[in-house]
Amino acid sequence: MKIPEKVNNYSPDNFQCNTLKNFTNDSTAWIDLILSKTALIFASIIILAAVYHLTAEIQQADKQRQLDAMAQDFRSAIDSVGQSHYGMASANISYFFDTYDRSGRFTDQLNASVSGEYAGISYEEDDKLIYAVKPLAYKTLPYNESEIRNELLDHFSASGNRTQPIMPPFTYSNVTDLLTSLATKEKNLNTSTKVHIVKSLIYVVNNSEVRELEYILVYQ
Amino acid sequence: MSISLFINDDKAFMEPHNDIISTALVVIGFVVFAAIVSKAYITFDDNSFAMENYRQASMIAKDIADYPEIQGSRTDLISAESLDRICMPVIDQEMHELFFQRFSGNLDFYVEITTNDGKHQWIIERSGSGSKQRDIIAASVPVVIELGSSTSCVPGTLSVRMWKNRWI
Repeated sequence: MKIPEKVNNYSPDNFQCNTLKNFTNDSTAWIDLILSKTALIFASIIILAAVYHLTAEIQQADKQRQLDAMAQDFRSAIDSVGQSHYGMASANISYFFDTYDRSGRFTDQLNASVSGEYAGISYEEDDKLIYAVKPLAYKTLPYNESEIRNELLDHFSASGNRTQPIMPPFTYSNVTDLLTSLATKEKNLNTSTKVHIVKSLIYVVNNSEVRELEYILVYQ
Repeated sequence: MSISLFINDDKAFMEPHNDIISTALVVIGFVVFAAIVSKAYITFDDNSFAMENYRQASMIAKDIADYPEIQGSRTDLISAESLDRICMPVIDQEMHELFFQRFSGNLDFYVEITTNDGKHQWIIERSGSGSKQRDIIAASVPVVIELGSSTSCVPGTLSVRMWKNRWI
């Protein structure tokens, strides 16, 4: 038997040429099929991941909306007290957070806070913090009436009541500076107990005239 | 005839291209869907922001219209003389400061009072407030302005214009 002579005709050019010919002459369309199926799989994975993320984002946005609505409600309550005239019933209200629903969401994990400039509500779930913050229209202090009067008494030797107004050399700007510095402190509120929102007036004698400084007090 | 050609064609020439076209259609459809959803959300967000802040601007406008320091000879009148003292440029700095004292420093707004005949305009602006930005929400209330004496009263509009806070 004659052993066929092994012809070593390998060269890079030949190989490339043969591969190219193989591809061009291949009428079974396997490469096309594999490429298109791979593209299909990748596209499906990307679309499924996008849909999954979109759903998760919508759920988070829904919770964000709920928190926004609650923060807005709280802000409106504080602003309504600010708008009302001092001494009227609407200038002193008790506010309850609407944190309970039948599905049990937003119960224990809900945190509310208030400072001189904003009211905020936050919710922590799976180490992710969702929060809603609303700026307040009126100057607000997270203290009760006696705390504020004591602070004024300590600094200006007068409580700022109608009967005991703050007298010169202290001016109303001294009082507003002190209260602004006090208002920067954020106070956390317990969402399961009621919040008192009260309008308070601080009287300051300035150039022989008595000026009224209006503040909203938010405390529990 | 043409259908039988497709059925009997075993070269699978059309098969992969069909996949690509259908995949492209699905991707385009999804992108369009996502774009519509995001556009709807942005519109909803803008509208809810405008609604929310309109309520606040309206409340401030009513409050300012009732502010005793700018009242005229009657409680339903606004004194032009008082407005002259606190509008830009400010004549009575103390009164101007007291006007804005009860409002939070975080709230960016200014007050514009005009007579309906367009002859008078007062702009009360917090000193040191930043330049006016986009996304302005305005609320107006009708007022009666007392020019000089109670016999000379003209109708006007008090508008509160506020813009989107930088940190929201």
